[in-house]
Amino acid sequence: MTYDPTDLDDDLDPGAVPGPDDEPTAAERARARSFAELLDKVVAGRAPAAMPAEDRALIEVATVIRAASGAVELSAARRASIVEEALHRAVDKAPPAPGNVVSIASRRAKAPWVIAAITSAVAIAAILALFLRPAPRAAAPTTTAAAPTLPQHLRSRPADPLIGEISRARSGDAAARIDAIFADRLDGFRELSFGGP
Amino acid sequence: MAFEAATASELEEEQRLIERAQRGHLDAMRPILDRYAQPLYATVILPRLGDAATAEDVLRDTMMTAVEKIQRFTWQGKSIYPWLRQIAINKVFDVHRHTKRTRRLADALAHEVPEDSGVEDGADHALIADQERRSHRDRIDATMAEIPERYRLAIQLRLVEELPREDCAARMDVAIGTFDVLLFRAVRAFRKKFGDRS
Repeated sequence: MTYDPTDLDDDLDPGAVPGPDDEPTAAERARARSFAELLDKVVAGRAPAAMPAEDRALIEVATVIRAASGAVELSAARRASIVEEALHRAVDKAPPAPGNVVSIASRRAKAPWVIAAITSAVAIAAILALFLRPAPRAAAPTTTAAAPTLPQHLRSRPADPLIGEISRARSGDAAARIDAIFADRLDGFRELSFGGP
Repeated sequence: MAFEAATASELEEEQRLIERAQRGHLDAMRPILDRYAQPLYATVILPRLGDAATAEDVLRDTMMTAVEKIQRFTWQGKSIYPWLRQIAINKVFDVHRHTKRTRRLADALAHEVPEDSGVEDGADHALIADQERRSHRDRIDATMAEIPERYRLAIQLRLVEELPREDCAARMDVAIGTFDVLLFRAVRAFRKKFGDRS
């Protein structure tokens, strides 16, 4: 028995579908097994990126059936990743507005140059200090007790007060937190090096 | 999976976030996008595309467009979900227009007018998502009714109940190789009929 001999208009699967009781050929058995194994991977969430067009067409139909049955869900991690990516892309494309979210990408683009400039300045200052320092005195008293105490905001310190508790909803926004810490530390460096922010 | 209906306080919170986003604080859209990502993906995009990777791309594009065009949204006392859903459906149509490989699915979708939500205007996202899932289910059941019973059973066991192949074969009292052939033919037969459902 042939299932539907009139339905011959499909370029991806032009042949008629045999009936359930028709004996399969060896080629059809191999093809069916290959499809079943591919479907196993898709159901397990390991769908290969590339597959033959004929297989893809059948996998799409299988996925539509599974989706309508409520069998397909987006994992929480994947959902968060998609939301973050969409927000970042949209924010980068949005025109500047007062109080708008600051584009992290633009800061990132400048960051390597800023870091390189600061590193060079620190290296030059260190070399100059090495050559220009006064000669050591013979019996210099210990200076530990006399060392000036820097204010808290210029010393090494934890970033917790700056960042605060990280809520689950903002857990993916690490770049903004790094930017905030970087800006805070840079202010301290400027104050120490140049006498002001 | 049934989605939970929005409470009045959730709608108020949604309105507050949207107004904040419309004042330029686009970050305020994050909780809204997070809340509606799953129903958009599972009931709007994936059932119309059938490809998980493409569906994720469309979901991301939908969200980007929503954030970019949030100024155009007018709060009318109901959830933003129908607006997001309409953006998603338009994106799905764009994909079907640009790719030829999903012709059968595109044919099956041809009767759906993008502007037609198929649900009441005031319905919230949970009701819309459930109605949409029922609508997909009805179309699939109607197609299933047109294929031989053994094919229906193969699809039911493997794709709806998601039983392992070995269990499906045991339930149908056939060897696993025979079940593979039945499922392969069943999906082919379903596909050939699905495009005719419009």
